[in-house]
Amino acid sequence: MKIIRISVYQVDLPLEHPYWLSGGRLKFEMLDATLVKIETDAGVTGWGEGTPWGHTYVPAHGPGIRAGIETMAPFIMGLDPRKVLDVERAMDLALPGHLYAKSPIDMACWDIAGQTAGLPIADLLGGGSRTPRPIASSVGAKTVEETRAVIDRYRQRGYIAHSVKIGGDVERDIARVRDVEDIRREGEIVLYDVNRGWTRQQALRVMSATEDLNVMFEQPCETLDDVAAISGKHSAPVSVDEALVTLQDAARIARDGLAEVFGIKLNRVGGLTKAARMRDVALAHGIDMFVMATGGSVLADTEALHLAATIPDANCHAVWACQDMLTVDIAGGRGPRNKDGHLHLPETPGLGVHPDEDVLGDPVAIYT
Amino acid sequence: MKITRIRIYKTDLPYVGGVYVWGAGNAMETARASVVVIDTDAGLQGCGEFTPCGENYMVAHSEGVEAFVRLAALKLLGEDPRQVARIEQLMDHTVQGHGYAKAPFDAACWDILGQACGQPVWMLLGGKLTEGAPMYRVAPQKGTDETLAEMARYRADGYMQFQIKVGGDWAADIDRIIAGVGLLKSGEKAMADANQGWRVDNAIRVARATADLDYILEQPCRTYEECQQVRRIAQQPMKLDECVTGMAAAQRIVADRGAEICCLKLSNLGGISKARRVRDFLVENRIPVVAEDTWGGEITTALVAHFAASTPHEYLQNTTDLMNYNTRSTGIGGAWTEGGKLYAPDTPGLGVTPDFESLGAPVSEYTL
Repeated sequence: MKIIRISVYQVDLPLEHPYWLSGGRLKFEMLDATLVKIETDAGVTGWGEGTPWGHTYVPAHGPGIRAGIETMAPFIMGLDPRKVLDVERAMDLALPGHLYAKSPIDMACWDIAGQTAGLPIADLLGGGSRTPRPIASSVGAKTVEETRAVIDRYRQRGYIAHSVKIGGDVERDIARVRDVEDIRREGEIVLYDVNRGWTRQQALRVMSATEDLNVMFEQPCETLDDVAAISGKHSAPVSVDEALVTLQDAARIARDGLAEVFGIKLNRVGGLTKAARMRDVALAHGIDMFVMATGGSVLADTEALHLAATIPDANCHAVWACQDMLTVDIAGGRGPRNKDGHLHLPETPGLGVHPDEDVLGDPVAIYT
Repeated sequence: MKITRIRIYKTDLPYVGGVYVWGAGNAMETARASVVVIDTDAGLQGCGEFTPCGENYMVAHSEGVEAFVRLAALKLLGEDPRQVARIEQLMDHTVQGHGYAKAPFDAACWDILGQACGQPVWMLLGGKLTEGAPMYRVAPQKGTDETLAEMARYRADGYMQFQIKVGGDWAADIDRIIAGVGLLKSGEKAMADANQGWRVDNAIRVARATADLDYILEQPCRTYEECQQVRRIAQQPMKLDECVTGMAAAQRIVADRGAEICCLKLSNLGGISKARRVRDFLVENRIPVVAEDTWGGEITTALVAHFAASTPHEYLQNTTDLMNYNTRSTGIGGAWTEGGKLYAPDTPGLGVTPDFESLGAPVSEYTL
């Protein structure tokens, strides 16, 4: 089987509500999605998606994905897409770095491999759990009252996992953590996500002031060096998200004990193939995981769900459904959807969901 | 003063020697230059260039500049280009990372700033601390006899530093180093540059087999950590290149005393604004630097020459006349060479203008 054609589509995915990170430092209103269709000489077609969270969140932007595909396309044309490692190597040789541009191609190849094998991607990866994965909410509020209101809204839709965005103001952060813990129900999973928003002193102040609550923080500071610098000075479990990019980062975190949880975002780390290696490093070191798309449609959510399903239930805390935040649906309601705050693994071979091509418009590039 | 127009040009720069071979089996015949031309309402025009050494040399490819400008153009238009730090901040807030794509915009603004105040860029960088920067010459990976013949030719032109490209078959590399170093005359220096091409064990074998020779070992392996692993055994002075990606890397090198020499490639560091800070930090810590870039024509080389001229001569290892590596040009005027040294222009700004005849029509244009 050979890749004979790659079509690239650009779609704007508007967010229903504007979204702030890091105490208002970063605002997001529209996601720039790149959808990739890979066609083969065997008639099987695979779909991939790369949707960075805006272009100021991590070093990843929509035009950059399309530029990367332009450079890599000649090197993957004619390869067998089922041999995902061959495709991965060809991409890595053609273009160092730029992992976020590689992930949609990797995803489309896994889709084709799954369809050809007659298995959902999770089963092709070694076996997918059918236990529904809880969807983490995104509580991007500011005040205590707003935070309560947003969490309540999510609870009514069945959510049991919440990612409460904090960072920016030490006193307000402490007050919000205390209040959320006050109203937290039994069985609810709450992660306090700082998105790199604290300096080292801010992190230590909030973490010390909330020590009695036994809560977990995600990406408290900017870099792994920052996370390492504070790690001996607080007792809170830490999840590393934005600073986990390469397998070397994963190895460092695991070896030096910098975090107890990995937040694996598939677009950032370069797709399923590379993310699966991080999963294995995590499991080998007793590190639990959140698995998520960086953003995007139901396709990106589904890719993350497949990887999440290959993690033992006890070690996979939650996934995410960015689809719930968008006003555009490119797959007409198909694919895994939010059911009482959970996503269910599709039984369809491959990815399990394809977009409506007429919603995507004309391709912005075609490589043959 | 306001930026009123941004144009991007792309042109191919064929290597003057046919095929340029580097690292583990990589070869390049033609580099693709991206040239940024910025116009202002004051009638001043500035230019900058980014040219990778082939698409797969570093985390930088020739499609990246056009991709970046799609997001950055609207932000840059109307801004005052003389406020180079403000422009730098604006670009960093628009897109994270992708420093190589920002570098030509940064350069074009420095060019305009220089013209606006009637000073060459080397003056704005603090003045001339090196009058005529010593150059090295790459002896390409040809047959041993041919390589040695080229060294003799360069010596006649005034060159006293030679780079021996290795990083392929380690056993043959040992012979090449022995032969190359054996040809040195008193006062001449040799660098064996593996361009990240060796495995750690093989790099150690090369270092051991050549332990009695006086030469500088350059970037033997891919990552900083691997190079340090080699360094525990290798006795040769070490020069790091590809892994010097910014201030964080420089801080680590200083803290670990991880290298004797650092090669600063302007685009790899994200432009002259960032590169000068890294240079000043390294020089402050008495680590000598190389002033150069990944590849490039007259515009790139002019900037490199200003950077070299403003570096203290006792801490400037060498620089490169990149414009003499191509059969075609990106600019008119700029730096010139004499007696194995590179001189920066004394005319205001970069002292180079775009060679519009060679550049052809712009690939994209944005106006206020």
